[in-house]
Amino acid sequence: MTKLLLQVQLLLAALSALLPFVPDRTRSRAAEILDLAARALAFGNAVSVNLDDLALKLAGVRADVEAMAAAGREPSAEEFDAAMDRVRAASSDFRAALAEANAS
Amino acid sequence: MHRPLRVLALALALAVTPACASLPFGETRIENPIAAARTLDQRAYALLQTYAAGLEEAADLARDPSTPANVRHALARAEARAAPAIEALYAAFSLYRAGAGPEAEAGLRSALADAEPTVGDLQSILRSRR
Repeated sequence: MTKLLLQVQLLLAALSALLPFVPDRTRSRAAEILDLAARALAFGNAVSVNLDDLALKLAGVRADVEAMAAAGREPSAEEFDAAMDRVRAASSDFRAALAEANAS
Repeated sequence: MHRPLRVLALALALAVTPACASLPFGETRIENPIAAARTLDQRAYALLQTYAAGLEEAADLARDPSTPANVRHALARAEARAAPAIEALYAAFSLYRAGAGPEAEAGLRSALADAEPTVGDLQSILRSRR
């Protein structure tokens, strides 16, 4: 998916280079359309990369839990505390990211 | 339509067609770690880790300047709902581990039931934005 989005982004960039050949009347409209498409693609690309990361992380967690289940083992107190520490760190980071985004 | 625009439209269609043909639909498979758990402890652990992974990706998305404001707001609302449920789950798990009596077990089951939908909501937002 990321590869496809990159291809379309490159195509948009190439099309933007052709804008001077578009008639004056429609040039600004064409530029607006290309700009909108580029912004939508940039967001789609960011989401796609994050979704791939999330898939990898969840696959790792699932493998961990499957190994526990297969071995009939319960998570230790240390493992549970480490998971909660990860949650709290991620939560702080998320709130900081939101604050940064709101400030800009 | 004017000729230059027709040429542009045709060029776009021609260039995009092979890319669309190679679209890897369903390439990203999202696992559900909670489904792999067999016991209450494993279920609680899987839920915490699933939530943490989702939040890490949500932070990256929130930081990305191309992310629309409404997506950030939806993520913020989902996190605000999930955070107290997850803290309650942690407290219930600690009680359960300390005593493991029937009441503590019921408390943990209840905390899991409360927390699971909130984590699911966050995951849904992350998935639906693809």
